[in-house]
Amino acid sequence: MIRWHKSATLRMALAYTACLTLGVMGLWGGAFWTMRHAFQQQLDVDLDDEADRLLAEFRKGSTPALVGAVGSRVRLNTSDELIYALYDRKGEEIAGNLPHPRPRPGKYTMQFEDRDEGLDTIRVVARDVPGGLLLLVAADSERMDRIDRRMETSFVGALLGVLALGLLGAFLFARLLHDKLGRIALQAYAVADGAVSARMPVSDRGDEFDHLAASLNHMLARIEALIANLRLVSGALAHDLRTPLTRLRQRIEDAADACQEGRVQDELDRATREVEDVLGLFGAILQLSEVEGGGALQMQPFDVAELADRVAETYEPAFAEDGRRLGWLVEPGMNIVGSSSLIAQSLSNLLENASRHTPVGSEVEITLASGNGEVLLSVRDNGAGIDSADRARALERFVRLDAARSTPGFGLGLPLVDAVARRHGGWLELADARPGLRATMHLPCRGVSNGA
Amino acid sequence: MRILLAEDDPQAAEFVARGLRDLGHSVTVAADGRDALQITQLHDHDVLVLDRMMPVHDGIQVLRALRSAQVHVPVLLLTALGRIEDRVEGLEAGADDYLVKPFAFAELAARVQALGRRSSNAGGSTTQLMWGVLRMDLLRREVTCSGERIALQPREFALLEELIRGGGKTITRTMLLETVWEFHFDPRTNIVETHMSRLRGKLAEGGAKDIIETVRGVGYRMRAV
Repeated sequence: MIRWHKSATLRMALAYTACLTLGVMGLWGGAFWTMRHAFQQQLDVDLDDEADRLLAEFRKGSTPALVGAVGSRVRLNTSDELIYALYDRKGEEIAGNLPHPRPRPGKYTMQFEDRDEGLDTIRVVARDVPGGLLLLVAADSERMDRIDRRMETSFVGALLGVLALGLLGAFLFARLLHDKLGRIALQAYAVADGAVSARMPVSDRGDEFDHLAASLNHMLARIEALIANLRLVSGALAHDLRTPLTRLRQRIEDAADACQEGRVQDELDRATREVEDVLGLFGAILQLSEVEGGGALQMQPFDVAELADRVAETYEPAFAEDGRRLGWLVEPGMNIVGSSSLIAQSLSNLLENASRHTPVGSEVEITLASGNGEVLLSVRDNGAGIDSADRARALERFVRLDAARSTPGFGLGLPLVDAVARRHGGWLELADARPGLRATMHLPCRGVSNGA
Repeated sequence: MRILLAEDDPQAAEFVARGLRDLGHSVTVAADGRDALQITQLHDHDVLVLDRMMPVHDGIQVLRALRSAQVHVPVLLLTALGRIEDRVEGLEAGADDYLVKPFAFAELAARVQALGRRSSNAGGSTTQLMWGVLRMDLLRREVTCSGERIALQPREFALLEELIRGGGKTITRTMLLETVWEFHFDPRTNIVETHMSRLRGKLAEGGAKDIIETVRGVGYRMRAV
């Protein structure tokens, strides 16, 4: 689906069409002006020649010859193409067919009131004739107007043609680009969602798009290699560091078994718990890297509502025992495709955060709702909340906001929830619940229908 | 029980083997996957403990070879990786249980016990469980104490069922989280403890006081009758 009003390619193509149209208009304007000018010059030359011929009559036979020549010209000139007039020194028209008082001499365009056609425009050549006479030869501008009109018609036709072709081209061009870029964007989303081995389609034409796709593919190959390398290193780290830690823990267990003295046994138990904490942190880092790194997850359809109920029931007694209230409002039958284990862990992280960072007597509520193709799984408390300035930082690894310094934790709980939400194509939203914090996992349904 | 332990780290192998022998099991140790396969061909075992990462053949390869040869001995897979998918991959390859290193020995021992028991009970699907004065009807989801009904929540029922099926052996906290709640992670809240105390309260009220014992730092078990 193309959103035309937001299409950059359409904008570019339209701008191109506009430029082309302006160009055609400029070209036509220039041609029109030049042709008109040339035509007028030719007309002036014709009028001058005619005036010269009439003056030659005058030189041969003085005024009567000129009057006769003008009179015969008017009679012979049936098509009304040329207009003649001869005025005497008093301004009277003594021959000719122009119903107009004596004008000034020269070469110009003037208007007069025609008996038949009303106001008419003519091109005039008027010359003084010895003896105070004025000879006028003129041409009706209708001839030029006719040519103008014909040129205008052809111009409008050509312009409409250019516009239509341009617009059609613009839409086709936009659609083509949209399809090409859309395929690339789709693949990019797939990669962002963890399909790191996905590649852009490259045709064998070798055009700009193929160059772009090829360079993106090169980048993806490099990223994939780096991720693989990172996973190898972290896997090796997990093995190499956990083995000595396991041994340390075994030694402590052995020592605790061998030792009969209660006080030493207590100390050894405490040491075991310390080791367990280190191992727990290690496991949390590895798991977070795993989720963020895009390792293959077991994505299966499951009912989030069932999961939310189960986790809520599980935590309710622990909350009650600590003096907090846990409620839940779960819309039944809400299927998504994902890792139920990770979603359960995320919800559990959110609940533990809510219980850890709120005073005794607080109320915590789980809600599960759907809308806009998303499942919204949220945990709200009525504690102190997180300042809006700190919310983005709360999602960073190992960041523990000042208010949380005194409580236990690694600072990996929210980053994991965020990473899990993003691996499912969604996101984690932290919002002010006035009072308190509302943490919402937005999980897209991905075309899986809400089972009844 | 006869247990085969395949583990390439000699120190870890020794620690586990010693612990299991102390519990009265007979333990054979294989240092890599090929040894493990050869030993399984020569001797029968009640439980196999396989390390996921081993030289020559890794744990998954050994497991696949065994399952394709129709050897159905219960297998506990050990791994050092914290990878989410490893558990699924292991279970799909035919493992019966899965334990991430590092583990407390008691956790491993409890799981080996449970696997051994499962193989010896195989085939007998029961609808009734008994423990002393307690009787569980699995079909009607009912618990009675000396004939008197005790009302339990579904999770409490599942918790009691796991413990009674354990037959007086220790069931660890992690095992309960996995089977009763399907939690494959370690919650930092005492959810098992709080549910257990509710269950105990209801049982005591119904006349079965102190029937569940706490094994400190490990888990729970039914008190011997």
